[in-house]
Amino acid sequence: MSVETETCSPVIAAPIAYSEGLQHRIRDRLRIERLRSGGGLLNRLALGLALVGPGLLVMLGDNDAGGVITYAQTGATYGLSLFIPLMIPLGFIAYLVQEMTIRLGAVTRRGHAEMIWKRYGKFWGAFSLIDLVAANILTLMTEFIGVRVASEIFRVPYLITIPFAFVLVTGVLVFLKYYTWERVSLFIAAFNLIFVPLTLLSHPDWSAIGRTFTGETGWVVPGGLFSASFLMLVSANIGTTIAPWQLFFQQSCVVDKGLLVKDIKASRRDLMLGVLGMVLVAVAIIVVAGQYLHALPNATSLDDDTVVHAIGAKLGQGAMVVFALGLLEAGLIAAIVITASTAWAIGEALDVPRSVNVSPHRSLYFYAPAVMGTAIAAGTLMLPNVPIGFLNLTVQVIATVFMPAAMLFLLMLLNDRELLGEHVNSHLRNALSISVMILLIVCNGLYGISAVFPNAL
Amino acid sequence: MTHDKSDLDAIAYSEGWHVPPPEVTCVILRPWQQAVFWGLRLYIIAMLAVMAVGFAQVAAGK
Repeated sequence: MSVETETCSPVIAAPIAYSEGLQHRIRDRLRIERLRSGGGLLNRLALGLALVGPGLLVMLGDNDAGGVITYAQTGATYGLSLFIPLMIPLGFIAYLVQEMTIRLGAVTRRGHAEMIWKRYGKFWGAFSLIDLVAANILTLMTEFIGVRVASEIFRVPYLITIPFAFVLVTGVLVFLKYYTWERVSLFIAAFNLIFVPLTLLSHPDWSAIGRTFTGETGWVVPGGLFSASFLMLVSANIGTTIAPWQLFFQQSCVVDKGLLVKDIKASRRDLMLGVLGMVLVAVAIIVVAGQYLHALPNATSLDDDTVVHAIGAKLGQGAMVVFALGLLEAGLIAAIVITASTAWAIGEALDVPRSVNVSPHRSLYFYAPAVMGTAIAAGTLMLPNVPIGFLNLTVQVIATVFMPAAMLFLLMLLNDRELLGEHVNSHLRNALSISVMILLIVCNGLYGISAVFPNAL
Repeated sequence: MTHDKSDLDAIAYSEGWHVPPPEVTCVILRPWQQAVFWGLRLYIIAMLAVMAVGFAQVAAGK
């Protein structure tokens, strides 16, 4: 039985005694239903805004500080290349994978970790949780890299900004209720789009960008399609598009927002908006880096600091400041959503009250592990000699390594008719999802072979 | 926006919040499913090892 609903009376028409978390969730539901029942353009607009959240947050959070630098490394290494059109299928892959978490959350009203633990037992549940927490802490480190580099640009010591960012990231989770947490997070996430005007104002070579879609450039990859650096960047780009934390985050977010089967269509639109934003931002960064940072030495392992200063050298101080602000924002929003995903997953595994609506004194075990994980990541980035460039790309690729196992649990749940009834996956969706899993494994496998045996491919 | 208790109760009943979500029972993974999961665990270990070698080579500019 869900902890939050234990106090509810099952007797119809009798007054209900709500737990703290459930009461806030039902208030959120009431807000949406009142907007639904009202008429007028403003009302519809307000309803649309009220229904967005999990999808936008997961996809804009996906363009995290590590992702920003991975896109910049990609542009710097290959210029205006096939990676630009490649972002569109990657967007479809992201939609394909994340849409499944919407249905699973809305139908079962349970988070992702909870479903794995309850359906497949503690043994497999523990495996998936360990994968998630390890990957989350590593990913959080890349978010604090973004904060650290941005703070250096603004000439503020990182020993001040990183603790400040840590307090902000954990503070919004611990002290805000879900609705406010979501609105504040969306406000911060909106600044992710700052890269789009930056690129538009940088006078991009539109004809060269167009040629990347038509293949007139021949989609030639220096070093070949099987070179370690190319396969590493492909894996990293996939890793920054779909990652295990996204599955756990969006499903739990759907549940904590109180979304139901009737909200699935609206949630899909929310996700589509998020995917569109993700692709736009990714392409914007690849274009600006492809045009202005192409052929920088050692481009595949550029670190954040080099990227930001190179932007400044080519496009001026203003562009450098905007890029640094974008990097800071990308780190902050991703840290906020990843911290939440850790909290939800651990709360669900420990079967404690697990909602952003629950006060910290009522659910210490929901908040404390997530805050500790974020503290470890922040603390690591306060050390003086952290190998930033190495860490960044490693984390993106590690995300792809964990992803097939996470996707297999997701697919098994999405094919469980006892749980999902008519909302199970179609054959086509299963085939596409299995193809994505195979793509991940093949990309990583080829990368592994080319890395260990450079002359084998 | 203010909500009184009766509003909350009404939506709780209409949307089914007054009852807990259906129980989820544990199922045992079939042998082939267990084999796939163990295979994926080995894949994770192998890839992490390969990645360490690969990054060292890329970092060295090979």
